[in-house]
Amino acid sequence: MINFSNVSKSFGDRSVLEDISFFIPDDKITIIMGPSGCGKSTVLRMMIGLMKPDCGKIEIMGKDITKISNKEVFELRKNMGMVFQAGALFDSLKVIDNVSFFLKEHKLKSKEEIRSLSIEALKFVGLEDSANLYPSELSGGMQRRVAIARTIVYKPKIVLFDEPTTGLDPHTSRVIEDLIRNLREQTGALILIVSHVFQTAFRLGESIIYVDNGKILFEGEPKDFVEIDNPFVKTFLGPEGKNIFFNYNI
Amino acid sequence: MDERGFDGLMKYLGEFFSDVGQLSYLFFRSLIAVLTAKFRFFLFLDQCFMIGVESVPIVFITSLFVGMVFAIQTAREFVFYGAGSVVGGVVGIAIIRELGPMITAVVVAGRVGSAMAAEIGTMQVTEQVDALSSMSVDPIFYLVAPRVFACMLMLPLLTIIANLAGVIGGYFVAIYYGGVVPSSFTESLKILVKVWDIEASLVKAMIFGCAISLVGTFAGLRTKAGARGVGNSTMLSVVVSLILIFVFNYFLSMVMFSR
Repeated sequence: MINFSNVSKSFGDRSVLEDISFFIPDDKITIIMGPSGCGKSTVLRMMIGLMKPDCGKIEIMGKDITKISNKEVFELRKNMGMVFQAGALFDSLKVIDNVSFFLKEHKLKSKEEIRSLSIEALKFVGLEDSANLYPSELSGGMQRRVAIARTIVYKPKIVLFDEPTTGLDPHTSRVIEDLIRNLREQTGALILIVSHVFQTAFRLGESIIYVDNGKILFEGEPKDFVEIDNPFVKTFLGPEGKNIFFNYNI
Repeated sequence: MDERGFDGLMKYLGEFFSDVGQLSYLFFRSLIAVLTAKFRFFLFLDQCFMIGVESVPIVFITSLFVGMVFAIQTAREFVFYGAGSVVGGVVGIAIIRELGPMITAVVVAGRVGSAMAAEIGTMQVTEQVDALSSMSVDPIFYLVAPRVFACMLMLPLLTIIANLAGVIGGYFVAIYYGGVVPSSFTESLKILVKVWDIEASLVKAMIFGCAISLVGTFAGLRTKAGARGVGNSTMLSVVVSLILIFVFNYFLSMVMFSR
């Protein structure tokens, strides 16, 4: 459903992505891994049309997002949801208003339906009691759960996660990971996660794309990822080496 | 000029025209929001309250004292030279044509323009603006248009208050400090201040409001680099707004009062 073909992106003189191509299937949770600053988040931002590549083709649901008009990009985005790294909740709105924001803005349902769908989404992330709080009154983990609720409330076909568990304690990370897995099982949405956290990658990932120095160094299953003989991957995996997969794939 | 200096100048000019282009783009997109019924009326009302109602006390107090100071400087001198009968008109013209809209614009630039830049700048660095876009909501329609039109509506209304406060302040000082006869103050005010002066004052205020809000939202949207970036955007919005207010005021006065 998502296809990158020969995509390159530079910021000034610094090349972040060099002629990369990959395919994200509908039926797997895909993780894009790589060290900080390798261009993982840039990939997500280009997918949702927040950034344009210097060259190449990005096909989302059969449409090349680099070629279509802004209006078409906005229409396409209605099928996509993005959960930002720190949640990116609107701090002037209450939790319930954050969650119902999309439905209200696009006037997709009646007021009552919007409220009930929003409460349902908050129940899914276990935060129905926090509906009337402001984001500043929530912990980091709770903010990310609200961000997930805000995204799933309109049932997008594609959900993109930018570092969903970075900076969270192990317990909260597990909660978020379980939510993502449940989301996949219940909605069948395409899930793409950008992360440099092994635990998340190996617990959730059915397919891994490893990006480093602007290039894709690996594309395949997690168990094969730890076996590849590449100095960059070995450095990234650290002293635990391939044991890391068995330690975290539980 | 050496080559580096020339390149630097060309780069500076390029950035300047790029910024002017982007400001114009923001304005026209905001206009499209209104014309295509994608205007968020409740956000507009919120902004009207914040820009207009909450600015009333500060606009009133500053204008009152500016009017009083102006009368201190003019009343006794005019009376001394036998021109006490025109003090009211002079105070009225100065306040309504120039000081009222200027004071209002300066106060709003400091109070509201900076707040716009800081709020939108914080939204930008915390990815809230991107979150809007990712949910198919145009940040210009949602964040810029309500602020621009609220500012364009509220500045003239605040200017009316500023003009009244300035004239009232000037009246009391001219009479109790300057020794001007009350009836001559009001008579000269009626004779010298024309309807056009009031209209021009409001048009000026509307243009200042447009400039302040566009600069504030633009500075916010282009914020980068965390807390420091937000601070820079806030400062930039106030500095640029103030410069624009003074420059625009000169040219508007030239055009409006050249008769």
